[in-house]
Amino acid sequence: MAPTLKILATGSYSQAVIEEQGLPELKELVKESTSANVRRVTRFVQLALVGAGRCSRNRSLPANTAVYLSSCRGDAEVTATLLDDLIRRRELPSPVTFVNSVSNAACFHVASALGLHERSNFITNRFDPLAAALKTAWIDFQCGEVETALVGSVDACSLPMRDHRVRVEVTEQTTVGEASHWLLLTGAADPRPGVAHVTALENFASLERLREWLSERNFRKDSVLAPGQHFTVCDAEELCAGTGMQTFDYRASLPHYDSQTGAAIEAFLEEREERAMLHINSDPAGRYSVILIERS
Amino acid sequence: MDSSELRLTLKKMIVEECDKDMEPTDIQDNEQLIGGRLDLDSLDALQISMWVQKYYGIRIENGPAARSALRSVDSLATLIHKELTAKSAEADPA
Amino acid sequence: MSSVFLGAGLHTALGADVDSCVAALRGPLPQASTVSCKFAGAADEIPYFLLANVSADDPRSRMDDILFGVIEQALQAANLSASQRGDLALFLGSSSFDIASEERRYRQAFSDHNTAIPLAQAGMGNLAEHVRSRLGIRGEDYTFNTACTSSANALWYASKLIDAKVIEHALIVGVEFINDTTTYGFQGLQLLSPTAMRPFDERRNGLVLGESCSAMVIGKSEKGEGFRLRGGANLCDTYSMSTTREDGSVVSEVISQAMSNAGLTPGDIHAIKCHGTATWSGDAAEAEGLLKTFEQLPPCTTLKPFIGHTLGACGLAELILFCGAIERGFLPGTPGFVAEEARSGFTLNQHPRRIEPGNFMLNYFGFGGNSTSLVVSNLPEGVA
Repeated sequence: MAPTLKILATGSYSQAVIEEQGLPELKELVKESTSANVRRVTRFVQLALVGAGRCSRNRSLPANTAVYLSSCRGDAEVTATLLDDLIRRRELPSPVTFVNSVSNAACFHVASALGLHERSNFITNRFDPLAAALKTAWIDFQCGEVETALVGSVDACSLPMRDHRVRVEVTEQTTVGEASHWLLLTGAADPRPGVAHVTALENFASLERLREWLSERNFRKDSVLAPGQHFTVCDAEELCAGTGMQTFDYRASLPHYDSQTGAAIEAFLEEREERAMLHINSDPAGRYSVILIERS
Repeated sequence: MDSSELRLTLKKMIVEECDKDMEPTDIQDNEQLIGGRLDLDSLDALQISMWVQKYYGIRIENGPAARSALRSVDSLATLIHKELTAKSAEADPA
Repeated sequence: MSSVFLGAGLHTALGADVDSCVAALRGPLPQASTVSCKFAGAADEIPYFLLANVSADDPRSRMDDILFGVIEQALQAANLSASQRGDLALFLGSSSFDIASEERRYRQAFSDHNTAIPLAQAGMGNLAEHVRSRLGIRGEDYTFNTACTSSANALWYASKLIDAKVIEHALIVGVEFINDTTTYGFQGLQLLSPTAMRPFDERRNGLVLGESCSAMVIGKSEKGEGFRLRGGANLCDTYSMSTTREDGSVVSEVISQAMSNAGLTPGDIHAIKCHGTATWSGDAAEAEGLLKTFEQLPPCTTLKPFIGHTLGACGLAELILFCGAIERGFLPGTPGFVAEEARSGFTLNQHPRRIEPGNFMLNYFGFGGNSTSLVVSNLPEGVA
């Protein structure tokens, strides 16, 4: 089944973090991008607000906009604080800290700051969080239950960086960063102009099944193949062989964070000329997830 | 601690614990805390109660007791003062 | 033809399989275990519905024993072939995942060195990946973390993806195992009852936490018999991070949407499983929302007095208990809670009563305003 979702807008924040300089202050950015006065939120929630706010571009979104958030590590900082309260400081966690430890706290604050009154969901997957959230949003469009949606992924850093590096499984040599990538989606029938369409969201249990699907579609040089985080450029080039498709290594310039699929979509729309981008990700078990973006 | 000092401590605590973007001295002694101009809610009330428990060892039960104690900075200061006085009388009976 | 519930597995305080858990719903309300909960200002001991018949102590092996045992119950009941098992898609819903193992590790590491790192492993999808790789599942996997609605949302999305023919069979899993983070977090919120859980009752004084692990396989069935998810709805209530909008308007809205999503009207609902956390404002809002929506309220019941509040896992665990009871011909009751019709007109079913196949509503409300209402049916398809 070919999904067709129209991307009305994208919005992002991404920043490399240099430990000596501390984490960038986000309070003003939250105010700028959402015009909301938000309090009692964690850094993870602030990042969600900045990305979602930028995606809405300060225009008012219809109240029936649904929110789908994903994240590989979630709000690790707030959970670490709870563990430190219990084990290091031996005191009860503060009510605000505990309540903020539910992942959908960020959905609550996004919906609240943007004046939304619809469903919200936090969905993730170990290897491609945004792909899982997009599929969840798509099925709601497909069922005719949702008309407009904000779909995003958030990765937050926390200090000390030593702890953060252990959590995200990288060495000291790797530049780490944080990010918030969002898409504002609507159904294909929406008359508003969009920047692109999501025309496939597929999962494959093996490379063979992925190859079958690709061979039925005949991608040519008007498309690029963007290899996801767990898929090597080398494997991507091999898949492209004979098709005329180029690989698009959008990750080369990014600091390390765990949910970079949204960065691919934004980079493709901003930096490339081709008509379509095929984003392919995989996991250590050899499963594949595919997102196809076609320019409007 | 004299009563104006206690009130200022409480105001600073409220701004800090409830993450309010305002000066502590902007809070009036008798102004309504929950649901008033300050727009504090039940989660703020819990946050304040926990602070009072932590720093003064005074437990404010959720419900009617909390509603009455957290009516204003005045009511909270009065409660703390009363409880501390009772405690010191217990510890040092005349 | 919509997807049906093909097989379930369950482990709660009531028992280690679906049959024993459902059978216990006919008996008297069980007594919760007691666990220690010691911090300044907190009670020394609190009631807690711990899993029945469990011996392992180490949180990791305890979780694995129970989790894979429950999943195996569901897979066997669904009678899937080996290739169908391999192609399963996985939907896991939880609020605390395997945090108990991390608490154990960090406590040990911190006692060794005070430079120990809290939360050394932080993947939200790690538990699903653990299940997936252990069982050799190659379908897609999703992890839902929306507080107390997590596993209800997992089931709802699994069902929609099957109905749209994106996947064939889904394994839905809900887990909540005892952990200090949750226990002390709720203690700090002053939401725990020191005695017992009495949802909606005038004497209610908070919730009792519980553990549960549940699994369900759903998919198309040629026979089309048994329970199926007929519809659902979700709303994000932006009133408060920690309580439902007090006037019941969001409750009313989400349950109305669920009925219309299922193609039903209030008169078509035969009984309701309430969320019923026995918190003062949560229950008031829920009762208010139900009364707003139903002119004639069908029999209402709550299951948390039997198994405790199992948080992210309550969605699926309570659904399996509820459907199991209905299939065996009875609606569970909670003797003594809101026995007298309150002034508002809201009351709970008191004793197990006979019930015919029909359409049933199950409601769930969580922190962060996440509100989910599901409608299930065991009527033949095509019957309202």
